[in-house]
Amino acid sequence: MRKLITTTLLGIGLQLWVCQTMAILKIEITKGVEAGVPIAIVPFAWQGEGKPSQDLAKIIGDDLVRSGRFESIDKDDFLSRPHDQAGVKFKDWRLIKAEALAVGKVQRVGSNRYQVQFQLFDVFKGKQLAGYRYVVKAKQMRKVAHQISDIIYEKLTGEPGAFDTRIAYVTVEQSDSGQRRFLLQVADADGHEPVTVLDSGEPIMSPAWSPDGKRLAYVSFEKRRSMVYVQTLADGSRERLADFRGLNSAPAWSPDGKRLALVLSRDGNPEIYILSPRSRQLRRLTHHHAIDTEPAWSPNGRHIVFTSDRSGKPQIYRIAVSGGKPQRITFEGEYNARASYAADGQSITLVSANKGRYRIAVLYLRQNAMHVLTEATLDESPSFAPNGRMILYATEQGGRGVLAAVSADGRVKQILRFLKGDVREPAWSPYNRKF
Amino acid sequence: MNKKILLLVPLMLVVGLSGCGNKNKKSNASVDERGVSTGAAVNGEGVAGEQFGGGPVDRTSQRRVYFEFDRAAVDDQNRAIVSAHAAYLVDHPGIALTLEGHADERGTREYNLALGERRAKAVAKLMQAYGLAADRITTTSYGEERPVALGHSESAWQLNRRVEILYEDQ
Amino acid sequence: MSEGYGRAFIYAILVHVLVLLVLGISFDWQLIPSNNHQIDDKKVVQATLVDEGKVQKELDRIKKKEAARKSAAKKEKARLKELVRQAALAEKKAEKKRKAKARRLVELKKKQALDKKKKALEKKRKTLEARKPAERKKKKLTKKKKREQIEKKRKAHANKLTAQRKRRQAEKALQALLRKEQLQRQAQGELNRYEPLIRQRVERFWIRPPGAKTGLKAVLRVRLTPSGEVLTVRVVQSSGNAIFDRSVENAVKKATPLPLPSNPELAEFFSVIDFEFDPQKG
Repeated sequence: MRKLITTTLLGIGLQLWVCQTMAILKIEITKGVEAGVPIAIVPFAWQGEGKPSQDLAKIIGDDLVRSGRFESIDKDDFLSRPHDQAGVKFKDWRLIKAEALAVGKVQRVGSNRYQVQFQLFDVFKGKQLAGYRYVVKAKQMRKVAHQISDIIYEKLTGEPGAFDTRIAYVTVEQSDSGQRRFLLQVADADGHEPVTVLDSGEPIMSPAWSPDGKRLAYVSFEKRRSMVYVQTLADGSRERLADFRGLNSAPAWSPDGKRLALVLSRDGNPEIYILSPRSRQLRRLTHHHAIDTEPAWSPNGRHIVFTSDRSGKPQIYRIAVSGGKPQRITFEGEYNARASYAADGQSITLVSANKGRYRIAVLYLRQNAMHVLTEATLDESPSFAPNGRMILYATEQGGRGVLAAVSADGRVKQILRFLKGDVREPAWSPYNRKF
Repeated sequence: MNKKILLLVPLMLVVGLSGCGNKNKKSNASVDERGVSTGAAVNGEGVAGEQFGGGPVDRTSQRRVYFEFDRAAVDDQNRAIVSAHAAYLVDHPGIALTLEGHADERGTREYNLALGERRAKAVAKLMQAYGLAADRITTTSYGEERPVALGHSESAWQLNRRVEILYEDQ
Repeated sequence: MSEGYGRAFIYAILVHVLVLLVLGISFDWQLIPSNNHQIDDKKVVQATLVDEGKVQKELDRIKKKEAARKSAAKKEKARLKELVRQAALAEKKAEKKRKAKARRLVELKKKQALDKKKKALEKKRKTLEARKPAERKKKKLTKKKKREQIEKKRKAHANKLTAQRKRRQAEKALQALLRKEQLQRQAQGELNRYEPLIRQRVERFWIRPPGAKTGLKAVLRVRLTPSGEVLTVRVVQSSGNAIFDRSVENAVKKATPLPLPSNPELAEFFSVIDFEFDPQKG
């Protein structure tokens, strides 16, 4: 009898315990913060004489922050400064809430030969995500840093990085005598290491990268009117591609690099044409008395978007490369122009004006949703990074043109301060080949 | 046109053409050559020349036709300038005409290049209406690449939305 | 003797009934937290609804449901209390009856004894006249009867003690349940207070990957110390996207310690939390 009672009582107790453990609190999280992932990049150790030529950690940190996807934790907050796995105490990094940790070192291994080693860690899991070693020359240091940025970006976001890429742009320099010079320049994506590829006393416009990143097409007024040229970057050799009567302008390479779309007014007013340079075959694509300009290819090479004021004000239209009736695709905003596709073909970036303010916007094609990303009044020439996560554009600051990068979500904007002069007409290169 | 003005015309042209001649020398410019921006400045001085004309001014002294934003229509005032130039050129068959269209900095560069051309063509069409032969007219456009006034306000923009009327010896 | 067993039997039944009741209640209680879940879920859903009418309707429904649950619990508690009271009453009655019976018995016995005494005196007187062996036998018999009576009393007392003990135990169990319910009620209050605090803290640390709106969802089971330190994080339901999963795991890990009630008894209700990350609802 007593036994029975005690066991039943025990049962009740058990029941209570069970019912308590079963009461798991459930909390739904629907909102997060739109912020960068905090990453700690420890200054790379230097093993050699003198000082290293480049601060790799800083280059990497600047790259990652510019993308909008990362926050680089101030190195003054670091509790330790390891340069390889053996020195890493994950607790130190959890305490400062770093999600990722990058460490590395540079070693001189010969005359003008350096070994760069780097490792990336998941701080909260306490494991390595990537580890690489390079042997490079001193002048390749920045490139190595950008490649490391690409690796970190890809490991932590799941998307390829676009730091080891270049940008082309036009700089206008004014000499003391008031002479203006127009320079077509190419630099690293962060604006460093600029190289002048064309120097002219007449305007240069609309540089466009070939899909292999080896050539630039552009508009030059060196013959006192607009003509389209193609220049090979490696040796500076170039060819005049279009010098028809009237305008020759707005070159855009097809994704396979075999054709160019451009704008000619040889038939009376600006129309879109498709030119095959090898066969010199020219085909007119648009037929309208309005302005048709600024063609850009869809990544699959089947469509071209362009600017037309056939409805009264400039708007974006899409036409099949094979021809046909163009379809208007922008309806928001009084002025939409200079569209170009993201690599995934899902969105286009463009200049969108409202009340006289010209801003950079992204139009998501499937949703038909326009997101204005910038707040200045004279922003122009947007082009996507090859990974579609950033947009390079031209804006005004302190009375001169500067280049800026905005994350595709509009959250992070940064002026590329390293460029001198009045800068405009940026174009982001395709992916670079790696070492 | 009275006699006084007729006397004034060649004087104006001397001032104006000195700028054009300057520009003309640069027409076969190579890549590394100096720019022709000074030529534009001399044309500007040509405009200043109208001041000492006094009285009713010959409109050929005005070498720029101005436009509304994103428009290529020539208003009455500018129409008079165009007609004066057309009349003069009809009388002087040895001079060729280049109409150079420009736009202000607002809007995209390629669109503005096209807009500049549209403006130049609008003026050219008007010249033809006033009797000038089409084959004597060349149109070109610099878009927003060659502003005459710097600055980011309407006072600068209205000066930049223009077609330049350039005479060239043949 | 049979009387004693009879009582024990009644007590046994009583205790069983009690136990069953308690078990029944404990099952009910198991439902309480799950009810809370539903309420919580609804809350969250409500927050996302735009239709105010719907929200009001939903609120009314929940209120009604909550009221029904409360009144049922109240009724149940009253029923239990009544049962305990009745059991005590029945026991008291039985005790009274038993005492009366015993009193009557004693009186009867007294009377009988008196009669016997009279008779004995008579008999003694007679046997004095007659002989003595019979007297001795009688003495022995009385002694035996007395012993039996003492034994019976002892047994009755023991039964009474057992019954009391059982009753105390049942009361204790009821007390425990009442305490638990009180805690749960308190916990519910704390839950309403702390749930948003915990949520806000985790949200503050969750760096949502761009593009995470496109249908990604993950559930984490998180174990906490009473002070709110994150002990373990387990992915119960993966989003299928490693970057998304890592972002939510890191969110919880970085959010440590989570704000919990300072009373450890209440904090216990927060020892395991399931976090459902669903940016689409946001």
